[in-house]
Amino acid sequence: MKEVESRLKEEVKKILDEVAYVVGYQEGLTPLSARPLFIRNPKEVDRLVYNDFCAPNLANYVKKSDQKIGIDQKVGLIVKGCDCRSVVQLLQEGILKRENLILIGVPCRGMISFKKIEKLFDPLETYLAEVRDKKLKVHLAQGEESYHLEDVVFEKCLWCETREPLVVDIMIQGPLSLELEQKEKDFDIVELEQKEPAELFDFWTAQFEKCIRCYACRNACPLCYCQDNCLADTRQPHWLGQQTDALNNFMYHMIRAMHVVGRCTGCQECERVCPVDIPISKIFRKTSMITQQLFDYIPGMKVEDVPPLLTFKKDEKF
Amino acid sequence: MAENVVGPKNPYLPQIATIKKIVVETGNIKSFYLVLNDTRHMENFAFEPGQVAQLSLFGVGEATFGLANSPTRRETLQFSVMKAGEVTSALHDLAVGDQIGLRGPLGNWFPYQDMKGKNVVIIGGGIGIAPLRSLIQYMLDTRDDYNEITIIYGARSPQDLCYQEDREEWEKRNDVDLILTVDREFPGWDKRVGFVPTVLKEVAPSPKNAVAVTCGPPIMIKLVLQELEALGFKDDQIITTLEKRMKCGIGKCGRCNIGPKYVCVDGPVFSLAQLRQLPDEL
Amino acid sequence: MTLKFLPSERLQDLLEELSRNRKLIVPAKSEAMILFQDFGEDVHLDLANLSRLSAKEAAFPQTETLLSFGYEKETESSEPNKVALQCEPKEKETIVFGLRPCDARAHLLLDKVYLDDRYPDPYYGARRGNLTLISLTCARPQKTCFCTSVGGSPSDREGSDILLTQIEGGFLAEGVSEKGKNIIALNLFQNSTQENEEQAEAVKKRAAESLTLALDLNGIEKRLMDNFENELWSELSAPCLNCGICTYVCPTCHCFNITDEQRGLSGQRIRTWDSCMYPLFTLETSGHNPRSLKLQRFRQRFNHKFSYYPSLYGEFLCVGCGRCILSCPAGIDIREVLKESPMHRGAPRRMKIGLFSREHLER
Repeated sequence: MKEVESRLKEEVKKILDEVAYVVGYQEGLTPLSARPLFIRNPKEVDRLVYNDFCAPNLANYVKKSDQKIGIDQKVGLIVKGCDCRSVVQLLQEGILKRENLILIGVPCRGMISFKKIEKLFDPLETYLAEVRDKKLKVHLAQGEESYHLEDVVFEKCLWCETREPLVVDIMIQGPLSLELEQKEKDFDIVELEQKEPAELFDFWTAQFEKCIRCYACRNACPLCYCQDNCLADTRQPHWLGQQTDALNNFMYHMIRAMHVVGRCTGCQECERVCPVDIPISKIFRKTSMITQQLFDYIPGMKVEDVPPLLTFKKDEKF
Repeated sequence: MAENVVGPKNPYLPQIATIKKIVVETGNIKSFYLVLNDTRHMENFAFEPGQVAQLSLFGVGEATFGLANSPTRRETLQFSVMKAGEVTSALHDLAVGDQIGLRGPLGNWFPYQDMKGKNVVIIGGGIGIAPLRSLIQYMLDTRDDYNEITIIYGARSPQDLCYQEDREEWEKRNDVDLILTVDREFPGWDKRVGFVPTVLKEVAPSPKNAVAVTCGPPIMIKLVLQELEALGFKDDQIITTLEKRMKCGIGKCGRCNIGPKYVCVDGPVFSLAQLRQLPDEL
Repeated sequence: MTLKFLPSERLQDLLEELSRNRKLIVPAKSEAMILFQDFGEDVHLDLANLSRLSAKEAAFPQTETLLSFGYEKETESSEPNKVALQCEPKEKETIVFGLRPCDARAHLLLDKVYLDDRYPDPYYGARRGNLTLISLTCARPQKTCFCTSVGGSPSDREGSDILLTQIEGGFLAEGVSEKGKNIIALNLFQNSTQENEEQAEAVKKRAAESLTLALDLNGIEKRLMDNFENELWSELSAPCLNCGICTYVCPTCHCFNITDEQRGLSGQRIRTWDSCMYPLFTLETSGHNPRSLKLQRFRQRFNHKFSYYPSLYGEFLCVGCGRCILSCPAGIDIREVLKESPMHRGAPRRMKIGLFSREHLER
């Protein structure tokens, strides 16, 4: 991955003159985290990193910036395979302008989930972390520990079908797989579906009781772009109360489910950012499973595709 | 449910008021004349020109409005409401006899004490005339305390001018100079035509021993301030009253601040000199 | 100061005693998180790790009813309508056990806003008056802690009614307030020995020494104002998602919304947490928004904590718990903003944004 990182830096330097900035990654709080970096000049390229901890989906930063980058201004964006699907979806929906994007594709072999490792050890007490020999190796105060990758990568990485970005201007070649044991797509949802309806309702009620309505899931979603007009907090129309209780929180998440249905590319940013660990992407992925079956459509795959719920055909039947 | 006794102990609890009269001022502005149901509270309701109150439509919400009448004429509490958002639209649907909630008075007021003996120039645009009307009425009722009074009041059209009765009173009196203006020519309109800042430039009041008080839409205020400065008014001779989104009205909910000042408790009235001390975030 | 010793084996008894006829809230493990929860049999007490959310809900709940209202008839009715109000600030004796000293001190900062002389808040006041805070010395501050930079310490007593320090075989208990002294007068507590006290001192010293970071916040109040228009705010805020996490996990953030929720003829006026990160927070009816840009909302949070609040109350509105750093999905680190921010990077560059010249930037 070090080699990928240095080639990435070279490519970023080459395009800096053409763009307002390039959105990439820099070191985060721990050796197991990375965070967005906005690169405006060659000096800032030094801070750029790319490794197995670069989970954030940077596609969210085009459109949702004060400068409306990617729309009014040309921007460079570093995309993994899954992130690129968000870009494709936004292009399908006419939100971004292709000519204002320089997409730099990076290889991804599966990203480490901070939420998963938090359950195993304290990432704040970690001095060094790397992926080697199909293991996550970390140096903790008590010595080196290693973990099976299957246990620490995002679920989406276990069934990933788009390790290589579909639409790019520049592709950095590199390892695309950790040869993990692949799981069936959305196996976790299939598991959840085994529950009785009442049991399932209890499961979600308990989850939504935790929700603090911080709207991080919404704001981190590249496809949620209504901004100040979101039904969740506007009073016109007044569709749900501001009370943070299971019922109103349920309503909030259902509104989001209705709005991303058939559009959600399953990037799981909503889940990654949730401060109270609600497995919220399951709802959005489930609704996408339904639209996939009904319309034979997978979101974010081809720029020319037309999202089924953004169109209407006279001969459509149900 | 028993009607609650309202006391100073709970600043969030509105007093119940009944609408006694509604005046349709313009196509989108109505004035509501309110009386508090509790007669003792009505008698003790002490307010100053420029202060505001929160009007409540239970089930819809609260919004902040300046008191539009003077404490010297306080048989009712008057509020002029332009139909714009959720609360104001619902208020416009109310009728005489309906009950609403009222919290107030809140905030500071026009420094009318400091204005005594001075020439006062009032510059209002659109609904911005409402809080100024309170001050005008007050000064006219204590007329001897002030020197010349000039009122420049503009609206989009003759139909958009509020307070017909007051305007007739002001026009009749020879101790106040009323200058009305509308944005463009209208049939039958024989007074001035032009935007408020332009008219201000034409009228060119002297800054000598004068205070200018202005309220209106942000763009008008911006241009009025420029004109006043050009006329030689100093920052401490210019007073304005601000509007912000407010919720609590008592300096706690955190949204109406400009730097460390909360418009709800430190305002809404500020001199330009005071505003210059604050960060640029109006 | 009254000092007592609580043997570890009496902890459970103490919690049961404290929960009798009162609400007792403790930090407990729930899945992978520590959250403050009502004490009960199924609760897995966790005193070792920092809770994901602060303890502020005890005095400042995320949702509370300010008043109830009832109409005589349908609001659409053409006949004059009458409305009746009811309100009663809730008062229930509550104890928070096992919170960090930083979280306890945060209550003093909230008090300054909510219990000011001019408009004391009766809802907050009722809760606060019935609240007892039993905090625990933070023996192992973590990488994100910076309490000592903002006026606190891992064994700060400010705001606590009792300060516990975990030592060999139990806890040294310091009764700080009268309320706290009454509790440690219970028979469950023993007289402390000199050894207990020395051990506690050692724990406190070790904890304080482990906090090596010292932010230079000298004069920051003015420096932030001098740099209000520094372009760096745009860079610093770029990664921000403008979600409410930092403000909701914060023990000192206290902004709120008031909304009416009605069903049929009756309803409630409720108060809910709100956040300066949300565009709707300041959106005016006219459509004008004084903080329409992300950088303005981002700047407000830091300015409020390190300039506006200090200028009003003489203290920072931050206790250095580090929760905002831990939970920020974009990796924004409040210490970095303070450390590297405008004031340390030379002369301010001006943004084309300001009092009356910002139209071109409006959305």
